[in-house]
Amino acid sequence: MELGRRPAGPVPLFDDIDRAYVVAQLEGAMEDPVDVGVSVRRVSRLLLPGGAPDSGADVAHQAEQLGRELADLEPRIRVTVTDSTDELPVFSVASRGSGGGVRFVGQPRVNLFRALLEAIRRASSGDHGVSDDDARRLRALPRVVGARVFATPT
Amino acid sequence: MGATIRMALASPTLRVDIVDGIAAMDMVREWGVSGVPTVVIDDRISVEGPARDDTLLDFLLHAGDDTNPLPAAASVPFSSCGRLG
Repeated sequence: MELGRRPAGPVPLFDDIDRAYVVAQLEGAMEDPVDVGVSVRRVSRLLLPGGAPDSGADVAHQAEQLGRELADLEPRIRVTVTDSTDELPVFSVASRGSGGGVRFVGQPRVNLFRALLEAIRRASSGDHGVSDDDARRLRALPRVVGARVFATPT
Repeated sequence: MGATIRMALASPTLRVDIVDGIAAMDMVREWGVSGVPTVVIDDRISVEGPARDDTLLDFLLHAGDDTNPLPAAASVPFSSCGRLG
């Protein structure tokens, strides 16, 4: 590449090390396609005179880009980007086999990104990692239970 | 976090949100979260700190069906949720 000249297109989020990590985590572990939803609050990145910058535009752009770069690395990841009014992006992973799924609120970083990859891998393989008996007890619940797990990236 | 994700993928009766507690400060304040990991179940039970997988499962099963017993209270700190308390 010529010095001082950037390649065409958006600057990628993943560098070579990131890409190698993602491939290593998913390679050989993916079976069925996995639906990954990325829900973002799209805001114009154009700053007009008199307007205030909105950091939400960058957050949404990065979240969308993360989803698309993941899908570029693994063709069985099917990303759908939808508009949302929520401040933070939400990544959802659905398991076609069990009908279960999990959502990540905020762009997943470090440990949370690792957890996102694990969720994708398990949703694809159908190996949720819960014993048959525990899975049966959960599926037998008469009503839906909601759980929010507060965690930090590091 | 890992156990909750696995349980969520195993059953459509469980809706799990993994919340980045740094990015989502508004939610942290709203639910009165003071440390991680914290699991807020059905907006009414807050399990604070690391919990055994089977303990967490018992809390979730109890939340979804009152006839399932709560785990022994001494085994893990939990409280009514800060949002509702």
